[in-house]
Amino acid sequence: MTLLEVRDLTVAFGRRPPVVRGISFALEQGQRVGLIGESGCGKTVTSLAVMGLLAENASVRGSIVCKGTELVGASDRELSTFRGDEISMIFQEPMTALDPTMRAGRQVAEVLRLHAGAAAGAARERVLAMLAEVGFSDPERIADSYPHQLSGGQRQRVVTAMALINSPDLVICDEPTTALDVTVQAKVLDLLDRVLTRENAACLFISHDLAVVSQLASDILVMLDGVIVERGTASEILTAPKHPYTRGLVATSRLDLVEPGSRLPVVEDFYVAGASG
Amino acid sequence: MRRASLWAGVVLIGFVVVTAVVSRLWSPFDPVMPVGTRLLPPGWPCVLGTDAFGRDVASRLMVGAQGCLWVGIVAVGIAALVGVPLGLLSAGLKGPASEVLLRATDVAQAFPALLLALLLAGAFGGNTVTAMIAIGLAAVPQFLRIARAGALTVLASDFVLAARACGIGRVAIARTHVLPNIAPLVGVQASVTFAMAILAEAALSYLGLGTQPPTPSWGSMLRDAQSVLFVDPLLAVWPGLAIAVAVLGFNLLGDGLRDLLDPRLREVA
Repeated sequence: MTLLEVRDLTVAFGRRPPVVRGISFALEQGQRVGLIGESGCGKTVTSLAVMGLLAENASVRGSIVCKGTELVGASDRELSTFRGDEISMIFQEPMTALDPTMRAGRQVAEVLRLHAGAAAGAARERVLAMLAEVGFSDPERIADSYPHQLSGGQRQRVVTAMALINSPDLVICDEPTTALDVTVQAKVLDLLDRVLTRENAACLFISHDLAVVSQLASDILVMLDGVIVERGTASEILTAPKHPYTRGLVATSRLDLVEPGSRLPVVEDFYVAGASG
Repeated sequence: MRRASLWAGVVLIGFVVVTAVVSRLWSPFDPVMPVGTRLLPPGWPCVLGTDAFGRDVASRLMVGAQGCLWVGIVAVGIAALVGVPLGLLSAGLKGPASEVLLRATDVAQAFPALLLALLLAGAFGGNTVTAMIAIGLAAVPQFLRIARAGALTVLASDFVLAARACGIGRVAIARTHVLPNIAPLVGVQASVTFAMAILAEAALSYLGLGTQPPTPSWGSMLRDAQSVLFVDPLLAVWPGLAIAVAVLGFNLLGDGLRDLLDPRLREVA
């Protein structure tokens, strides 16, 4: 069964030209799709549109169907039953995605309590189990910590716990590792891979980093200026990119192929915006 | 140095609070009954002398502290309990409803607190309760604005977006995320409004529209002292000093709290 089907999605803000221009893609149950593209190409807007979290002045056209329910034009009340339960989201910036006035454990519990209606004691147990699941060896201490007492990687894992505690079918990861340094990044990716596998959750993984996407996703969509310019399996995209922009992306991510002393490749070597097409 | 203002405020307010508490249990003399000769200079046993009716000034000052604190507490309570929810509402509402609320606030704010108090006093009689309500209502716009401004900042934050992405509703977000995050702002405003309320009540009592005789209040003591200003100027100095201490205390506390809670400094601390 198709979990999520996005068809001809167009998003515009106010009277400005649309930032997402008629994109279509679908996710099957448990499928992991990477959405890749440069800053400002419409990746985050696409994910917020799926969540129904765009600002008031956004106009959304097209169709987003999740488990047979049309989400475009649905009321906030209808959407909030989907958020957290069916679809959840992990955000880019772990430093600001947690409320500074609330202990980490309570923030995770808040999400759980609302949807599962569990008793307070059971909720605490579940939160600690979830924190252990995202790789904390001392979940008690983490649950009682305020965000400013945690490192960036720890916060990102708390955010991950929040997104996964209700066992959603689809997790949208909006550049979850961009703000982390490379070693922590690898750990968080590893963790995501494990937890997603265990929960059999589908994932829409958004990034501008081809290397990161290819670690997690089986399929890749390449987005440029609000349209999807290329799609295929991860290995197809990496070994035989067709669109010049994708070729540029692949070349810039393969630093091992660069001759020592020669100039590093840039995307513009392969694709110049507005030139050929 | 930043903490100095906070601590000075705490000490001054502490002094007023202790005086008020002690005066409930004990004061040197009965504050409403004459104890001896009129207009006694400071001495013993009347430490600050007696007023034009022969009442002990020190006792009256002590009991007056109670009234000043009550007025502050009730007025700030009314202003915060009405203003903060309205502020949250106006931040959460979209479109015309929010605009209407804001313009109504502008109108309310253009209305001087003392004028409102005079109106209420005219309608319901001048007493402490009318004064407290009038001062509280007049301060509602301040709390509404501060709560709205704070709530708009919090609502635009990533953690609120993350909470919404997890399916948490508007009311729950207001309660668990917005309120705790704007609490410092509201606390600072409460301290400043408290000082304003003390001053306003003193002014109303001075005009005879606040606390009524024989209950002692600093404002009415000033008025009583006015008629004998050239005979015994010290009588005006004592309540004036008491008002100044209380107002200064709450303003310093407000300043100190603001510095302490400044988000740009909080990360460092």
